[in-house]
Amino acid sequence: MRFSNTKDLGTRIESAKAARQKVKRRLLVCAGTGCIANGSLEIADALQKELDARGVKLNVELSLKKTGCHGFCEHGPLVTFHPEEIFYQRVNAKDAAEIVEKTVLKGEVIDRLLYTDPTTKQKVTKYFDIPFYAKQQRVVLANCGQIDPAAIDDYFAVGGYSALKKVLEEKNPEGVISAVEEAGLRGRGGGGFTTGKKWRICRGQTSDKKYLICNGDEGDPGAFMDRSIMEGDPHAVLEGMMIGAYAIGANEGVIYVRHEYPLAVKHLEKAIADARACGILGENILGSNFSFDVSISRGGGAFVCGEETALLNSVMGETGEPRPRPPYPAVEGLWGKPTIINNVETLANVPTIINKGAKWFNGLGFKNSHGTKVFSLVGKVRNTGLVEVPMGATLRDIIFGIGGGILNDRPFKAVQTGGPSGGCIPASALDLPIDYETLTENGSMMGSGGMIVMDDRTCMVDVAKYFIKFLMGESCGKCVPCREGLRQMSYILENITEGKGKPEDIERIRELSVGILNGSLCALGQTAVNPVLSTLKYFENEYHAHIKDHKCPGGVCKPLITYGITDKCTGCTVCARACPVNCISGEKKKLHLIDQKKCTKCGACFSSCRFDAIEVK
Amino acid sequence: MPITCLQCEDAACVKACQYNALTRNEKTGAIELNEKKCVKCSACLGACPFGNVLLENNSGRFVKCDLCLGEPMCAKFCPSKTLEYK
Amino acid sequence: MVTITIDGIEYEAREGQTVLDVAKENNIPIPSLCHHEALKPWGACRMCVVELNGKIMASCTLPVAKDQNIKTKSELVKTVRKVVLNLLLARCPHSKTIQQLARLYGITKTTLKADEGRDNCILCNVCTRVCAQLGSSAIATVKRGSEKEIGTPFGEKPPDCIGCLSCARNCPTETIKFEETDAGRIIWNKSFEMAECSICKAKTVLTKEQVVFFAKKSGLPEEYFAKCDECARKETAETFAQLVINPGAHIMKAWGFTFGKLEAKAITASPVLPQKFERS
Ligand SMILES: Cc1cc2nc3c(=O)[nH]c(=O)nc-3n(C[C@H](O)[C@H](O)[C@H](O)COP(=O)(O)O)c2cc1C
Ligand code: SF4
Ligand code: SF4
Ligand code: SF4
Ligand code: SF4
Ligand code: SF4
Ligand code: SF4
Ligand code: SF4
Ligand code: FES
Repeated sequence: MRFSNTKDLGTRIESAKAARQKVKRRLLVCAGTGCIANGSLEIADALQKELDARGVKLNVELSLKKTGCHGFCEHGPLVTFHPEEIFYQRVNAKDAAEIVEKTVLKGEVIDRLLYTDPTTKQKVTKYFDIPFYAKQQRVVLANCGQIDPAAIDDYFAVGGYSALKKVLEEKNPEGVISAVEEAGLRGRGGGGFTTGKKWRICRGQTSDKKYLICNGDEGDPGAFMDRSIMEGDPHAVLEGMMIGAYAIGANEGVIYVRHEYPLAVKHLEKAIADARACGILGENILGSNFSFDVSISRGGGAFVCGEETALLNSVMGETGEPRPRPPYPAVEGLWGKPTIINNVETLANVPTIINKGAKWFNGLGFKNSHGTKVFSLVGKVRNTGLVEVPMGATLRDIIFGIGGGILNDRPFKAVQTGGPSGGCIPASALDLPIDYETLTENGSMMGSGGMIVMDDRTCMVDVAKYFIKFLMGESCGKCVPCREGLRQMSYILENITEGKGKPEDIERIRELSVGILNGSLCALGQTAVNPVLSTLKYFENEYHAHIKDHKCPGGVCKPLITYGITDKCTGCTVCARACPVNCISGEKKKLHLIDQKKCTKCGACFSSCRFDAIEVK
Repeated sequence: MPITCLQCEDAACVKACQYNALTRNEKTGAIELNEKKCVKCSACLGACPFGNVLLENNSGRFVKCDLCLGEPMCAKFCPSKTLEYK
Repeated sequence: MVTITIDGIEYEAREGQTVLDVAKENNIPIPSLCHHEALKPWGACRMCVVELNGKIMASCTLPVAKDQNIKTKSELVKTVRKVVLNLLLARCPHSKTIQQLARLYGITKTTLKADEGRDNCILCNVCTRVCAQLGSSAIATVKRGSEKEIGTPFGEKPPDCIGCLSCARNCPTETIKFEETDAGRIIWNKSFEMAECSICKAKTVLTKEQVVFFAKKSGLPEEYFAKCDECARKETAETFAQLVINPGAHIMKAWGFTFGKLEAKAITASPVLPQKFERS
């Protein structure tokens, strides 16, 4: 089935939609990386067997599909049943028979597999009644978890490639750029540069060859939105790339995928092959004179390889080190030719903009940030996972609304946004709208959308040290301020957390920061000081507490804390048994005591006591 | 007869230099060695068929006749005016 | 031509020049460490920073553009340079080059934790770039971030090194050690013998490996390069003698040289031969 023109494609899209309408009953098993790791493929096999055994005609009465990630991996493996939208979590292959017997055949809900809202302690049946999903607005992730990413027909069935059709039929490249510009789409990979503007610069270059690169490196630890999109909706990424390539006049595309993402590579490869077979990718796409093909390049694995100029070097087989700019890649990129590098999420937004219109997209959001953004919510929050919200939502909406609040009802202390080089935002900023500018003004950044929630038992100096050490390890080492500066910064922070800090260290940190921030060659170094500067801005007192009082208010820095037992102790002896060095003494039902000389400050007693009788000072 | 650089038209030394350190001065016609660009790799030294690029032992610099930047001292001082610079 | 402003004074600059080029041409002092005129801009040491529209940029990688307003002496520029020097002084406290430069900015001792027992390398990559441009690429940076250093493949004697010493001779901190005798040299732990003159058998100033390398690169026979100055000059003298009688003598034929202005009268033919020396 090779479409020779856009009309043929249109016909196919309509027939695929009709087919999906016909079989409304769908049993969907999540086959994202997280759920697969927890055995979801075995569940799918088991369900298939059970359905066969009961003579259920697949694709006639019901369809069974393996989908992409739902973003709620923590509760996986997930199985959903439509159109009732029944949501089963932590499913096991052994549950297959019961699911088929009760839910599929009789329409009964299996209570045991339902999700319990941690706040209300109530069981929730439907997908969109779960607060985690109810408060999200899924645009980029709309298809993730709903379609089989390995089937191009599934993508057609949800209107896939109709944006490409529209572009080829109705728009010239300039029209595409105007639409994307009017929509106000900005890069989701970090910098937040206006996508249309970037495309226009590249379009303005005269060259025999141009490239479009999709940045799927996602080096940000803990973030997995790009992975989910590539795994769960690979055709959307391809379609976005095609439209972008058409706009800038590129005929070669590269998807740069992190090497730890084998499933994303597999699904992308399948999508590319299927699109080629359909005549959607390759020479003279759909009979037009637009030719474009895509290849996959596996990343080197270093965080800095996600930086666009380092990425270019890496694709070219050179050391993944950033290049000085100018020249910007849009002017001189891959193999010296004009190149556009866009993030996965940025590109996946493009088909929707074309389909739903620039106005619709522009209407979503806040000030100069439009559309939605996917965040990877982790840390001390009840619900963790991928969440998509319109720009302008507040941190509180995400952390307390979708995230369900702080684990164990502890007080919220800070949230780090934007990945390792983002800043820490305190409670006072919880109600600020999330958009590119507000985050930057508050000492952090949008970055790729990482969001790490911290409770009161977090030491902000320790947090700063952690991120600086991470970035120091990831620095490519090319330029002096980043290579040497982060190393010196980590020495200073280490000293402070060990109680060896000096009052002048604060000044030294500030001075170093100015040099690193302004002097570094690439954005890794330029943003690396955010964790330090933001914690200094909002939590300077913690630095002083470490330096002057030799105390760690968060109770984290071992050399500065002591564990003690208060009179809340019931003498249950649990802590004494938990202590690895046997330094807790006390008789049953009597107050226990810690031998400070022997205590290694491992914290085991602290977490084992159920009576809150152990305190950290 | 003292021998200095012949300022070859299609000079081997210029072609051997990978660093653009040897270029012809269009005014004087001489091949000049730009010391700032010279990385002291000896390629020119090997390439000149006449042995006319020298490594100054004491300074470690590579030197060659550059027609004294247009006013060759040798021609000026030549008592018999055998040497003439045109 | 474009006009740019540096510290309030206008300068004419050519298209394609960098701000550092223009500054050097006009004797405006901008310190630089990783810049080498023979090499492509690298932008790693960040010593050459200047301010453009409130932003700090490395002048060695900043192309000139119309109406640029560059500041080389602003407080921010000074601060960044001082931080860089403070950091470099901590990295190699015993480097004379760094000490001198730091003194210019009033720094005599680093306020940071100084490394001891490390060499003076500041990772400017001049050595690796010089070597790559020559066509050898015998050395490279190994490891990443603060662990990064200059090294040879697998830490062994570099197989592609031809002993030209360019890396060592251009290192701004004189970190790369080498030994030189009349008979040979040692660099990167690799020993080289000097090539013998193909005429008189005396030692030449090129290593055997250099002779082989240049011959291969140019397509000319090895004897061409293996010649001592003495013999080369003797050959020239003979050529000259013949030239006077017969322009277009054997060397001229063999190598196809034509002469420049000085002897323009004598020479009429202008064949071209050693075109095989192509720049990479
Ligand atoms: C250290 C570093 C790492 C980066 N990693 C990524 C990444 O993993 N994925 C990504 O899309 N952009 C990453 N970026 C941003 C890219 O350089 C680039 O701005 C982006 O891919 C452009 O796409 P956009 O305009 O669609 O955001 C990184 C930047 C830096 C400085
Ligand atoms: S800022 Fe850091 S990562 Fe970027 S080029 Fe410099 S050393 Fe490399
Ligand atoms: S675990 Fe808590 S309550 Fe039990 S003995 Fe230890 S301190 Fe006391
Ligand atoms: S912190 Fe660890 S070592 Fe110290 S008393 Fe508690 S369990 Fe024992
Ligand atoms: S140095 Fe040698 S090769 Fe170069 S111009 Fe002079 S004579 Fe010719
Ligand atoms: S020694 Fe200097 S002038 Fe001669 S080839 Fe090498 S770089 Fe060029
Ligand atoms: S001496 Fe060896 S390593 Fe150094 S520049 Fe020459 S070939 Fe390269
Ligand atoms: S050895 Fe010398 S030339 Fe090479 S990187 Fe280090 S300082 Fe630069
Ligand atoms: S000289 Fe410009 S960064 Fe080193």
